[in-house]
Amino acid sequence: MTVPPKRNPRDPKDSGPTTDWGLVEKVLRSPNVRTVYMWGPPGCGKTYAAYYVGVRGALYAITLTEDTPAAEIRGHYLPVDNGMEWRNGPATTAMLEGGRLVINELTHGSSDVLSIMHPLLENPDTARLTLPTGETVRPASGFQLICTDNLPPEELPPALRDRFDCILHVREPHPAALTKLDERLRGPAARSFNLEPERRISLRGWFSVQRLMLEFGIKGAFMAVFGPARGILLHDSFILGEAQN
Amino acid sequence: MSSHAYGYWPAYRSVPAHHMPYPELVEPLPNPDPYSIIDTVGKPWLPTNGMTSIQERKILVPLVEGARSVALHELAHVKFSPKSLPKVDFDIRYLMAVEDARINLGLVWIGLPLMLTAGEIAQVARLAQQDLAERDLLAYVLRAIAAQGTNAEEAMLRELGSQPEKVRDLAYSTIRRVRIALLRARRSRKSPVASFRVARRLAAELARDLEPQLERLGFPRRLPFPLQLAGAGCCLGHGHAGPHALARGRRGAKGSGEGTPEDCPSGEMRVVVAALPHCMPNLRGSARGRGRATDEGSLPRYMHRWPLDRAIFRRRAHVRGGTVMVDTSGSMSLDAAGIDSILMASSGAALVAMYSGTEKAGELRIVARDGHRADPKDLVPFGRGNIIDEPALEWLAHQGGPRLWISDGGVTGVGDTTSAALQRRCKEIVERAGIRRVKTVAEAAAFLARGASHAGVA
Repeated sequence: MTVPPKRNPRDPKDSGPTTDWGLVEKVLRSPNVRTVYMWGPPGCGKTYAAYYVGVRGALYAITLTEDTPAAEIRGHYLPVDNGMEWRNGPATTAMLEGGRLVINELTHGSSDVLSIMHPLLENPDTARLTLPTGETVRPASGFQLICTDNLPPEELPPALRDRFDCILHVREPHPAALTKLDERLRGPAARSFNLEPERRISLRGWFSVQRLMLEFGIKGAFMAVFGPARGILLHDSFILGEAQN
Repeated sequence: MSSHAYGYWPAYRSVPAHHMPYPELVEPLPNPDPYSIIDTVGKPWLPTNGMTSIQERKILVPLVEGARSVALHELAHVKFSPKSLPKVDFDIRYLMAVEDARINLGLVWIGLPLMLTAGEIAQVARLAQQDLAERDLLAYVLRAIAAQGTNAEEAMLRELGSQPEKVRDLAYSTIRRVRIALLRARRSRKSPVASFRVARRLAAELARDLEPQLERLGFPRRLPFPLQLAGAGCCLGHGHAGPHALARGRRGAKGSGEGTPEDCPSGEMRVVVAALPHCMPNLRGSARGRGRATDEGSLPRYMHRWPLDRAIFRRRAHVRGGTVMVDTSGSMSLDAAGIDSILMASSGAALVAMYSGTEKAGELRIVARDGHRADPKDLVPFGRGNIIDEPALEWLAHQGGPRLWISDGGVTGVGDTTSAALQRRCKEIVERAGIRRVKTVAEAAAFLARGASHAGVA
């Protein structure tokens, strides 16, 4: 049993989470927010929030790679029977339906993709996309574009960065996600989110430990999830952290 | 201590970051400031290979395979030791030794006993042998007390076998007395460790009782080496520090100062290429650049472009190239782990080199070239001084651009001293060759990562 230590008044207070998840949820639910750039370390629930918080209509999602062409987002012709048929991409469909388009790993996009983001991010008066079919698409009411990434907005070209309504920095996982963790893991997990990138452990890692600890035991779970070197050090820290002082 | 003490060098690339401990998970209260983890591999000037400053939130441990016991011991300090050792009217090394025993025995009780590797045990035994050969029984006893709760106890005590009975009795009884007192105190406290108060009282009693007994047996009353060089605490794998420790504050006038008006020559530079056995990872594809759609090729990648412009093939872009040179002198506080992170970030660069020097000469070591990189064991800096900034910058000026110099900007020559003329010459080279200088690993990593992500199509 872990006995909580007596608190020395001279010791630094726990700063607590620095991400205002209430604000993040409020922004994602707001009908006045059209475009959001959400960034932060991996495993904080950015994509989860983009997919589930404040979704009013259809949801379309795409993850960019360096090889993703703009045509995959906008749409392209496909050979059908003896002719060619136009197929809308997720961006065009979301604009037409007034749905939510989530683009993951925006900074991985090629210059081709980043260029086509400009009309999508414009305000409703000027946002329009003329397709190769000749049709001009304007965003229907309710259209939202949410981009997620691990890198800060400074990694984006200035013109693109300027077009986002809101920029949200997510540093820690949602408190509700933490409550899903086993009580033993919750404290160490909360302490591991603010570490430097080399040692940081995401919530995904802790959930993996939780899934495996019944089957492999706590030591086996740490070693399986984080590898033998890091796993054993984490296990040692975990056991030592639990010990009475 | 050489990392060889931790066992063999693995055939695969070891990542220092994988061996970083997590003191933040151990400390009694959460603290938003993470600990600084500092690698002690290749730093013979340090008194020991494992140290902890809870106040400064620093942990020094070897970031290599097989050094778990050192990390675990330091973590135990974070958990059980006070923020700083109190002022005492006896040699503090008594207290450090008893404190080590206190936390080691606590680790045994928790189920995490310190299991030293065969190499480390042999090193401990060698030190014990050396202590006894030099008739330094006090150092031996303190070392043996500090080894309580580890698997090196036996090896240490075995060394006493050749000693006269009176010496053996004194050593055994002292070590046993500490052990029993700590175990009893732990039991009565119903806690993994005895209270620190007990350790302090024990240390004071030892200092009071042991010294006259040592004198009676004809041994020196005090430890022969000065306090700052001692390794009584966390010393299991170490001997007395060598002359390097004295050299720590001996730094010449370097850095932002103007330096002496007289010119000081640069040291002799030796260019070496480290073994480059490992492939550099592609940082988001930067090492090969992004592809461009083209209508000629052998393997169609973009079939959806057929009706548009028929550019269904991808043409590989060229490598971004460039050269990164890292100043690894002592003022940069860069260890193998820091250089490793620079190497990781500079995956897009064609050539990465590090340099440092000592006294009259220095070494410029190429640690990554043409997509291959060195193992972390070859990233240990050559020396603690700069010495060869000028020839190193000349070398960088002749390499392919863009050229990045990771340095605090302080330049020195022979004897690690600087001069206005040397500074001026280095500045000229930097300006002439368009060398970009960044000060810290974080800045360099950010710059290199940005460069890679914007590498684009050649």
